[in-house]
Amino acid sequence: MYSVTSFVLKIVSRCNLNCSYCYMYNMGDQTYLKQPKFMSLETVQAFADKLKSYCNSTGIDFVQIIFHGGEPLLAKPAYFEKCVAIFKTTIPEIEYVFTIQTNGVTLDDNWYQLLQKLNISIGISIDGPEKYHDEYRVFHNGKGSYTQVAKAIQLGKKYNLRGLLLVVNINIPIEELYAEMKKLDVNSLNLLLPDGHYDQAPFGLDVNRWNDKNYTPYADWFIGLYKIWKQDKERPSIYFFETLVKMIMGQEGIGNQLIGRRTNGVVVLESDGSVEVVDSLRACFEGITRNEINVNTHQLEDLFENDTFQLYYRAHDNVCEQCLNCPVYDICGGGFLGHRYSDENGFDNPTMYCQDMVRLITFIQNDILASLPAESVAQLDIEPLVYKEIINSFDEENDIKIDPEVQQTLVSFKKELQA
Amino acid sequence: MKKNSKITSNLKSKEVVNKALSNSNEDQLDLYQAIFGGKASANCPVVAVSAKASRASGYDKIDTFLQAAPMDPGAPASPASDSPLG
Ligand code: SF4
Repeated sequence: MYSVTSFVLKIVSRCNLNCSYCYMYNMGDQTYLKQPKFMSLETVQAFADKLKSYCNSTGIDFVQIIFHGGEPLLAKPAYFEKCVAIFKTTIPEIEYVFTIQTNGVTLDDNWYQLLQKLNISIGISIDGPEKYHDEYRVFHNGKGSYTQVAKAIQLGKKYNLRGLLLVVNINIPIEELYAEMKKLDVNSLNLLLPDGHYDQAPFGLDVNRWNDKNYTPYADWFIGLYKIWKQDKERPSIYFFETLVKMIMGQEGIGNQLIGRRTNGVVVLESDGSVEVVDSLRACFEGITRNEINVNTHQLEDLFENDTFQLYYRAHDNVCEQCLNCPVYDICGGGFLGHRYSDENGFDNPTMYCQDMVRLITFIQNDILASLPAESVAQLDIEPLVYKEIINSFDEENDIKIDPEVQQTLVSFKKELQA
Repeated sequence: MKKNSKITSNLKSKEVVNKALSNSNEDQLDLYQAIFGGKASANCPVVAVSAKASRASGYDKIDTFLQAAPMDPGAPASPASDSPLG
């Protein structure tokens, strides 16, 4: 049985920004052009009907609906009122969390008041201080969007702004980034690793150094930020770090599609009603998430027969042999599925951020041990992890062998085999 | 042989860490105390723990990769209040 509780509704398939790293518009995926610009309310109703049947048959009583895009705030205010009403009248018995992920450029008092009234929590995407934000998050005319976004964030303090989402840009000096977060008085922040894989390096990565066993630019950046954050007694919540700390401390049952060992209970609804696996996988190759399933003609459960969904749902179990033998596997989980892709091996690779994850997890584990009183550490059955030892162990013979069937599945996603 | 990467993996080690987090005044533990709900209240630790546990149940109830903050219905934006180690 697949337990899916997060549904990402691509209610608008276009955007008023044209971010240079966006997988939708600038990373080779053109499928959005075939989508209707807006998801019709009939499609929302059809989805709610299928959701009802899915929740009733599985006993799921809690669902998160994420309004996403493109840019979801290109829809009209009344659209959101109607959407929420559709869900609440079609399946009144379940508990909802409504969220919207927006670029923030049109968020004003009217929008905040409406979203607050509808109990829709807001997340805003930002790329850092003005200079860096405006390099990437630009309008179609090339102008930066920082001024509008910063204004929306400041306004959000009065309302239901939940937090900021930031795609990591290692070119931003961490002191500058942290100062910006303090200036904007951010109380909650999440960090995302940029989309990319072995055949499409994310921005900021020096591909010439990829084989260097000491090259961990993302971890170095994270660690710098972590140190500043740790020193600050008035620190914001940084979800990515906190989740890592909790997992390293030994807390069970947490994680997400980037880290940890949980299943990935997320499904995406495109604006034409297509039901798909998370669209950031499209950065691997065009069509990887494509199927024939649509809420107007299918049940939501039909997606569970789909190969890509099955692999994605259990992505943290379906890992390559190196991950199975890795000392930090329970924390890293092999990383996000999309980051493992190569044309040569399909998904039979560790995440392309593997060395960074080893470095970061090692650092945090070491820091916790160094921070705890020595007499407490002496009572624990634990040794500090050593980056070099772990990296070198990847060249040794593996004790745990990968199930050949799993390996075959991972490899079968090579672009040429899927074509 | 795989090394253990998790600081605590059984009840005894969880108790050791919980105690260290609850009792220490060290600055260097401030971050970890904040993530795990701060120092135990001297007056009423039981109430403090039960409130934390109720919040913890909502943490990561759903996948959070796609959004700006963990969604814990009814809780404030900061998730910094899970009962540390069960
Ligand atoms: S650190 Fe590397 S080898 Fe270890 S689990 Fe993560 S991706 Fe796999």
